[in-house]
This record gives sequence, structure tokens and C-alpha cells, in this order.
Amino acid sequence: MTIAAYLAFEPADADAARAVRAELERNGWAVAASGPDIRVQDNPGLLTQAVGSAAVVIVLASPAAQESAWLQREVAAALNNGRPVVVAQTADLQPESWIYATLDTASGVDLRQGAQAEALAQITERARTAGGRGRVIAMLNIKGGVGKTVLAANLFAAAHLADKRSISFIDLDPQHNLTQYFLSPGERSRIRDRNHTIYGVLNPRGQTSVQRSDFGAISIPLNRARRAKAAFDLIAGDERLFEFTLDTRSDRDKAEAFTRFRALIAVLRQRSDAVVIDANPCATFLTRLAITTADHIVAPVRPEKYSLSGLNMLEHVVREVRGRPLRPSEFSVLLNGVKDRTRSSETGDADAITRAEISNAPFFGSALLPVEIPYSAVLKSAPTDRFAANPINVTAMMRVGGRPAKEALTRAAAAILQRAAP
Amino acid sequence: MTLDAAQARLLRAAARGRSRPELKRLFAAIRAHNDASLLAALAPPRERSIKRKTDPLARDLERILKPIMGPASEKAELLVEHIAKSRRRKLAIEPRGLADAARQLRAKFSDDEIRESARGLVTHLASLHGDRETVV
Repeated sequence: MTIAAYLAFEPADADAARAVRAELERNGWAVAASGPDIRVQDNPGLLTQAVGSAAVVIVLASPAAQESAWLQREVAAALNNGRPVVVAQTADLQPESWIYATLDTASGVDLRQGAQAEALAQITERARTAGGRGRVIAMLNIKGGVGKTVLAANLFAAAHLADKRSISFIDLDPQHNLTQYFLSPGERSRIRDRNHTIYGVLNPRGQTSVQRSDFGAISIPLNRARRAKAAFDLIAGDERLFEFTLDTRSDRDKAEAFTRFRALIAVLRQRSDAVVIDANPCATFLTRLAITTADHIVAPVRPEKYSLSGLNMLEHVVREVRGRPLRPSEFSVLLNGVKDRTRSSETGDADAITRAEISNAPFFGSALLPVEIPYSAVLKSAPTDRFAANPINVTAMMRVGGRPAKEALTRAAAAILQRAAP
Repeated sequence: MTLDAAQARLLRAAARGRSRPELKRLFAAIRAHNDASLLAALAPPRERSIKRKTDPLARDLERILKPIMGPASEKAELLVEHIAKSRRRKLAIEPRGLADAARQLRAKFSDDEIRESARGLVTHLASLHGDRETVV
């Protein structure tokens, strides 16, 4: 299968662009490039569509690119759609250029000496590895209380235990319930004292900031069994993330947080089969980070009235952030908490009504997973005197009982990872 | 050959609520088997005897380590690691479970020492992982 690359450049860099394009095509890539057929003033959706559907975006950075509004739009479309960006610098840039602030130029390719064979080969290699092996999956629903956190933990624990998948979690919710689910208060405060949380990643300055070179080392192992075959770890959450949801952070801080978050994702992609982001409900800057980096979105839905409006809002928010409608293959809807015997009989058959409503909808119908998660006590997190020295032991898969739920979790996780596969 | 009144009463009581084809299958089965087989088939299934751990040390370890969530094999590994660390001894033991750990540790330590170490392990892990959520 041909993989598509998008080449963003200005006419001043046409020679370099021609060489890069030829090299990519020689290596089997299908290349779409900036030009009047894509940069159409009256139809900005065309550009978003072209950039959003590419596997990688290659940006030729030069003073002309720095001044170009079109190139800025192409970069924005790439970032908003979670496309990996490879920078090839054709000339010196001003130190305060937006390209330095927005893109990872440090690991870019230097074309300032001309489009030599070695540099062109480097671009092809960077483009090939830019995506990483892992898929980024965001657990999202604008409505709260639908089971995002508990399902994130248990679905991917099932994938890890049953299919030996390596999983990295990112707790991107200021409530940091995923971190609380796995770790005791004492362990959380020790991690927070070392600043090894997502707050340290997003925070670009000060003592609490984590250096970029340490991003790979701050994850907390969640399966500490000696027999564990694959990695299962967490970038811990932190309540101080609320600074990014309230308007207490400057736009510059947010732009840097965006770049640093993408760098974290790139590190985790390299070593895990799936990077799972547990996002906060509502639509905030943090939700934007999750949407822009996700390859696949999983929206848990409970059989109740308000879940469906949350789903509609989610589709709207994603369309707003990415600048284009979601494709059904980028999205899964998972019905959670069916066959709940504790539910009042007055509500009638809420499972059937919700299932029918979603499956008959033109967009969501094809995104609804056939596997549903039944209501189960093993998925509940109740206060207990017991403790887990190995955090994975708190998950449903390691607890006694709830066989239907465990089987459903394993099947649903496999279905999600299959849908998320490139 | 006709049945007497008492036999007819007995038969009516046994056949109550059954359809004619069902009764025919039942009569055929009774004709085909002797009394012993029919009585054995009627007896309720024997309950499986629950396998109990016979080693009192293994039972005690299971009880002492109950606050730790997780499979017994992991608890056994934690116990061996804890004993090795607290007594500064290298133990070449890879237990398959608590009973196996009890059996192998007994070769090097007394039962009371092993129990004491298990209690020490729970205290140590509780100080690391056992604190509860509180409110201000």
C-alpha cells in the first residue's frame, strides 16, 4: 500500500521541494504538495482534508515559509489532526520564528547546504519512522461519569494481560482519577514530589518542569510482576493541570505545552503498542491536546438519556478542533454498563433504546462496537482496607468473579486495537 | 396382567404431570435397567470435597497476607524477597505459590520466623501503599 506524505513549502523553495518529492516517490511514497489546487482561498476544507489524510507532513522551513500564512495553515492542520511533522530547514530562520516555537526543529533535517543525497535519505527515514509503532487512543466523552477512566484502565489491562500488549497511559484529567485508581495516596505524593507527572511535562519553565530528554523516564510501571512480558505504565496525573483548564496560563505557555505534549507522545509511541490518553470531560485545552494527538477516539456511552447528547457534542468538538468531520474509522463507541440489574424497572429497556438510537444514526451507527461491557461489581472501585503492591492487581482482570465483564473487556480491547491499527 | 389398586395409585403418583410420550420413554428405560442402576441414577450427585490446604503454615500465610491484593504466586515472591532483604541472606527460591513457599522456606527458617516475616511484609507494604484517601 502506498503511504501518503504531504509536502508543505513556499515557491521560493521549489527546487528543494522537487528533490524531496522525487526522493520520496522513489521510495514508494505518494506525495501531495502545496500548490494552487490545494491552497484555495474559498475552500479551506480542501487543505485540511489533504493534510489530515497524509501519514506524515514534511515542512520545508525557510524565511519565505516563516512569512507564509498558507504554510502556517498547513502546519496548523497537521498539528490539529495529529499528523507527525518532519522539518527540513533550507535556510537560516530568525531566532524568534514561530517555526522554532511550534515545531521540533532540533531533530529536523538540514538542507542549508543544498538537497544532497544524504540529507534526502534522512528525510525519507524520518518520514518512515515519524509515526512510531504505537497507536494513540483517547478515551473521550464530553459528558462525565460514562466510565472513561475505569474502562481505560480495565480495557487496556485486559489487552496487556490477554494479548501481551505494551500499554502506556497518560492521565490528562486534572481530577487524575486514573492515577488514583492505580496508585495509593503515598505513592502519588512521592511521584508529585519528584515532579514526575504530566504537569511537569506540560510546564515549560521553572522547578516543576521536566526536561525533554527525561520524558521517557518519568512513567510509573503498573505491572511490577517479575513475569510481566510487556510494559504497562502510566504518566501520572496531577491536580495542578487545572491551570491549563482555567485561563491562568498564557497562550505562549499553552503553545509550548502543546509542543512538549507531542514530544512525550512521540517517545511513548516508540515503545508501546498503544498510548492511551484518559481525557477530562468538557472541552478544554487538555481535551484539545488529546484530540489533536489521537489516532483513534473511544467514546464510552452509558444506557441513559444524557450520554447521547455528550456523544453529539464530542463529534462537534472534534470537528471544530480538526477542521474536518471525523471518519467513522477514527472513532469507536462502546456501550458500557448494560444488563444493569440494579436499575429501576421504571426506565424500561434503556439498553435497547440506547443501542437502537446509536446504531440507527448515520454517523455513529458504524462506530458502535458490537461488544458491550455489562454492569459488573468488579469494575467498581470501592474503599477497601486491602492494598496492591502491584498496581495492575486492582483491575477487574486480576480480581475474583465478573467473568462476563472480563470476557467483554478482552474482546472490546482487541476490537478497539484492531480498529485503531493503521 | 392387570395392576392392583395400590400399584395403580403408586403409578399415578409417579406419573403425575407427565405427557404420554414422556411416560413411554420412562417405562422403556425402567424395563431396560436393573434396580441398582435406577436407584444410583436417582441419588443426588455427590458434592466434590473441597481441597483444603493441609499445611497449617500455608493456611496462616494465606490469612496474614490477605490484605495484599493479587495472586498467591506474587505474594509468595514478595515474601521470599522480603525475608531475603530483611535477613540479608540470598535465598535461591522461586516459589510457585504460598504452599510451595512455605515448604521451601521451612528448610531454612522456623515456622514462627516465617509467620513473623509475613506480618513484617504486610506492615512494610501497608506503609508504602496502604494509606487511604482523606479530606481536608
